[in-house]
Amino acid sequence: MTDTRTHFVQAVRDRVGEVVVGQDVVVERMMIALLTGGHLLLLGVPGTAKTLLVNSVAKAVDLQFSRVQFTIDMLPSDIIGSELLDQATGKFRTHQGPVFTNLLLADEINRAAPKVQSALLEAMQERKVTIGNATYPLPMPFLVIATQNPIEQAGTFELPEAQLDRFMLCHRISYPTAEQEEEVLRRQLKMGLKRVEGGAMPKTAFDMIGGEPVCKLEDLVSAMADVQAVHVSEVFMKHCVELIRLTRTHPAIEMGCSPRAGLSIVQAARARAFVNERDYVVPEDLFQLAEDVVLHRIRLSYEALAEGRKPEQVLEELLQQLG
Amino acid sequence: MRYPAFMRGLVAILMVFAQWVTAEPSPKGIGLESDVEVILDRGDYQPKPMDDRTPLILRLDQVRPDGKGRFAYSFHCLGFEPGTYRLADYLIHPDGTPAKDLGETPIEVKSILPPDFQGELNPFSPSPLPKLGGYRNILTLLAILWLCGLPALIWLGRKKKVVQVEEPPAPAPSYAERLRPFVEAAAAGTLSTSGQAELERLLTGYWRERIALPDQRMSEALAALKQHPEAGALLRALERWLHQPGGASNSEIGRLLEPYRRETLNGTVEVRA
Repeated sequence: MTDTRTHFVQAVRDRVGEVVVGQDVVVERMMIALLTGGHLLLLGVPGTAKTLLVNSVAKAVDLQFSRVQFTIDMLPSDIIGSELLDQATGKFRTHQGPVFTNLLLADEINRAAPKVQSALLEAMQERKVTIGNATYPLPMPFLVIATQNPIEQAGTFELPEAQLDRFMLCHRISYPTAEQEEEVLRRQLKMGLKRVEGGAMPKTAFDMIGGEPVCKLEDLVSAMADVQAVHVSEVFMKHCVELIRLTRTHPAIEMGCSPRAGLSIVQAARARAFVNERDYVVPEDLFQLAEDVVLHRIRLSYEALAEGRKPEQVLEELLQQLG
Repeated sequence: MRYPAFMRGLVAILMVFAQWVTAEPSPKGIGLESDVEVILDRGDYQPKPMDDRTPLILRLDQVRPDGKGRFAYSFHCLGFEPGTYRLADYLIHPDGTPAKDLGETPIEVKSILPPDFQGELNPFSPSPLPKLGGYRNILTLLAILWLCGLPALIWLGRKKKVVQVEEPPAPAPSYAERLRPFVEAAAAGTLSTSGQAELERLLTGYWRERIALPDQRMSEALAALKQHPEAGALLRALERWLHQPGGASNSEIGRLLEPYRRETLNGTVEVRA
């Protein structure tokens, strides 16, 4: 493991740590998504620093960043762009939507209508967008981090399994610990006022995001190349395939994982090994990532749901069966 | 009025006609009108008008030639009192004169009751079984039997319990037993990739069962195993052997697995947990 690679990961972690307290696992998952080009879905109640985390990472790596708050009245053109008539020239010109960025934060993606979700997920899959008669490639790297509130489901459109499968990882953000919450309060007390043109507002955590990136895009590309060089043993692949196949035969699971889940596990395990300064993946990567890779790809049977079983419990059974 | 006697009595009508072609007349229904066919020489006989006291009613239904120069008469005959009557007394010629040319052709009506029968009832003969009660009691008994029929049918139609003698399930092989072939293969250097994967899972499961808490999540249990001096050393060496290129040699793994190989031969593994 070279110093440059170590520097990249640690620098981003340190920069995010200046703004966000705790949430190390979420930062690691975002790094994994960033390094593999996979998309990330964050499930968490409001106020758990989802948006702040994405902002921090984007600023730390010097990536183009866009945020879209999804609502029910959005149209696909609000995401991908449209052709507009320029009255000065009398010709149509293409207006590229917020999807043309490196890092797109799709806030509360389940509040948009299915046609908007489909437009975004198509862009996620194909990494190109068609506006009018022209097709435009999206910038590289292109990463979507979407958020969902798992509690409030009124007026939302739940993402179907086929679209959930497009997300490499689905991480469930938990509340910070008591010590971390105390640290959040302490930091807030020290922020002070933000003064602009004679006016003032109390600073928020967003104002604390550093202006200068700690890494360049070239560093990220180099790290992505290093991730692709992480060794994946035949034994590890057998573990992965065994886990995926177990999801398809467990009696409590109605729909198991697709082969895409296996691909996601291997890619994510590579990136996790890189983040943890290893040149090879180990079973620990599989067990740590299994929940984020598998849970949103399985659906329990009605019988299991009627018995009050949860997907987490079933997955834990599978992991114990595996190891 | 003789009709009450007719209604009461059991009367058999037996008409015997000398000129009937058939040999023997058969008994007719008791108290019922009977059809009788007679062959006579002339075809112009008519029924004689009768009053309401006549012991026999004879009605002419049809007269037709029999093809041999004679005539077939179809009568409806109804007798009220037993006795022998002359057919000539009940037929006349078209001019109203008695049909004396028929001679003594008889009509006999017999009773099936004995001649001295005076209308006595049948003597009472006690039943060998005691009577349970009247009509209502019998109906009640039948209703009970009917209601008991459904439960009886259900009872008789139930599935017979098949007594299955379940053999006690074979005890699940212990980790030591499951480990044995893989450890032996590893020592011999013939362990396949699938065997290596299985060996790693078995050793992880073996130590997790010994060290980890029952409700501990797998990811947390694995971290705890890595902290354990004996399990941690083994699992880290396995990781280097199986996952890191050039990480651990077969001889190093052979030394680490030697205790497991030795102990699995005895069916158990001694652990200093």
